[in-house]
Amino acid sequence: MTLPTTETRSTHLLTRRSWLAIRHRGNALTLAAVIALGVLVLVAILAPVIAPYDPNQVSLIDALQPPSAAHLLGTDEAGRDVLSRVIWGARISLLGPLGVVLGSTLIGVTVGVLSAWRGGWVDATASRFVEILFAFPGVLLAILIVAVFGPGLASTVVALAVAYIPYMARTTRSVALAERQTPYIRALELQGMSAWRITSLHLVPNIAPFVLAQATLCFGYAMIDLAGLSFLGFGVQPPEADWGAMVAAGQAALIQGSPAPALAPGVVIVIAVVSFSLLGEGIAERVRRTSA
Amino acid sequence: MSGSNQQVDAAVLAIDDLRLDVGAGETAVRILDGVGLSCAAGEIVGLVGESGSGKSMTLRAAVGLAPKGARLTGSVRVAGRELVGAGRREVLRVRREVAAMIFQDPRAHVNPYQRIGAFVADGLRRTRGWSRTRAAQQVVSLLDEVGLPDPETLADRYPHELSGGMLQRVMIASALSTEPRLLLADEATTALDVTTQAEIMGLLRRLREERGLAIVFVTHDLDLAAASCDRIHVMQSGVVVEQGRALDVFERPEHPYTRKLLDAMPSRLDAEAPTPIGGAA
Repeated sequence: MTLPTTETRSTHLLTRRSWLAIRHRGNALTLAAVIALGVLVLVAILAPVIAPYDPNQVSLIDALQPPSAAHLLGTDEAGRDVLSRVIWGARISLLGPLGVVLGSTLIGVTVGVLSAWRGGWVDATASRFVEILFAFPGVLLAILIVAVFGPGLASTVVALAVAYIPYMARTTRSVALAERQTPYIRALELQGMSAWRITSLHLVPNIAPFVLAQATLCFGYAMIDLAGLSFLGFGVQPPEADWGAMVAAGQAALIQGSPAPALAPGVVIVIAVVSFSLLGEGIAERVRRTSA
Repeated sequence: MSGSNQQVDAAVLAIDDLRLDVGAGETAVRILDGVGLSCAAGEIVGLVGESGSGKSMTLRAAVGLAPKGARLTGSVRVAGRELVGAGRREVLRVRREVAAMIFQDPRAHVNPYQRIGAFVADGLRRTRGWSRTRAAQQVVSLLDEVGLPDPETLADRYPHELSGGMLQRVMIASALSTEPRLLLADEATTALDVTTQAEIMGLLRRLREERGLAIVFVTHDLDLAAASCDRIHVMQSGVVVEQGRALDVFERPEHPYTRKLLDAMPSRLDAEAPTPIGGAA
């Protein structure tokens, strides 16, 4: 018997080695996105250490100062240091979408796998439910929920999580349908393994890369939507530092000729969202390549 | 009745007058038409026929598996338990405890994300509730039993790191983990090269002797069946047209279909293209 060979293509999609492979294949954009997001996450974690000022320190004498050595991004209309607020804002601005994505993935994957596995009326009912949610504008749904439960981060996150369920459910259902037909899943059924065991231990881990790609894309969209809701005043409430809320608060300063308070958080939102989109696309591309 | 115990000893698998119909009214098709087959402990029975002759269907029916909307009549007894018309629980129990199956393409039949050790241990952990460590020890001895080198390191590998022949041995080890009495092999060597094929057949024959396994071996390769099986059933269009001791069937075929099948074998052709013989239902 010869030594084991690796003649067949790897079916591991997101192991450590594949991340290296992404780099080796020169996918510079994906790598750049990973670095940008890594920096953002680090900034969020290290906010108390690296922020030069207290983000909520009001000093009306220093209001609307242009960028200087003391305040690298200037100050806002209440004299708070914009850079410190952008740094602290990274926490809520990243945690919010994370909550949205976790919630919608949990429910969406459950619904998607359930309808793919059971088929029949379960699938029909779940699919109609998903279509109805699709037809309903996400932001409108969010505003509705906020109207009921009151504004704040928690209610906007729950609202958007509901609004994002269909995206996760639809993707999951389609890949789970294909995976369900594979011989190894059939073999497990044939061995008398319970549906719960097969789906949770075998099917879901195998479709996880697809789900991860979709969830990463959703993360970017959720960030925009959350910022939008904060901008509209439904989400994070001032004076808490949040990028969307900062853009909203900076509008007045913008007219008065101080673009920094609105521009800085705006630019960071764009960088973060673009990075998440690139990363999502990168993962999706890699999944397609390895499983095609 | 001579008591079910004796019957169990006589035949681990006893299929009698099995009929399988799909569709209704004008589109109804009879896939199996009165199939009879038996396999005793320590016996290898070959089930030979063309694609579509119903051999895989017969094998699947042996573990109570029929296509959706199919009607199954007749009798399938596995270790004395009747499966036709049996409840879901009974069928599942047979699949978990008595019968195991191996397939043509081992690579497609394993979870690519699962390590070999976890794959083989699964049956033990699931049906016997063994702990991870206890199952792991048994896995090593199972991998060793099917002739895989260095079982300890192998258990930590992923399926894609193994060759097809090795993976088929892993499938066999997994099938054996719950100590079944009946092993159903569905074209288990078809995807392998000739040398590996011979090794796997040797392994199956050894296991048959050591464990007293009843093995039903489905193949379209009459040559291979004649060389490795004790008895052969030849199927055509959902009917067993000929059965008997392997050598008898091979050397003195009685049914014209068997003769045609033998004539269609490349080894018996003189550089002529093999002729299709119309055995599909």
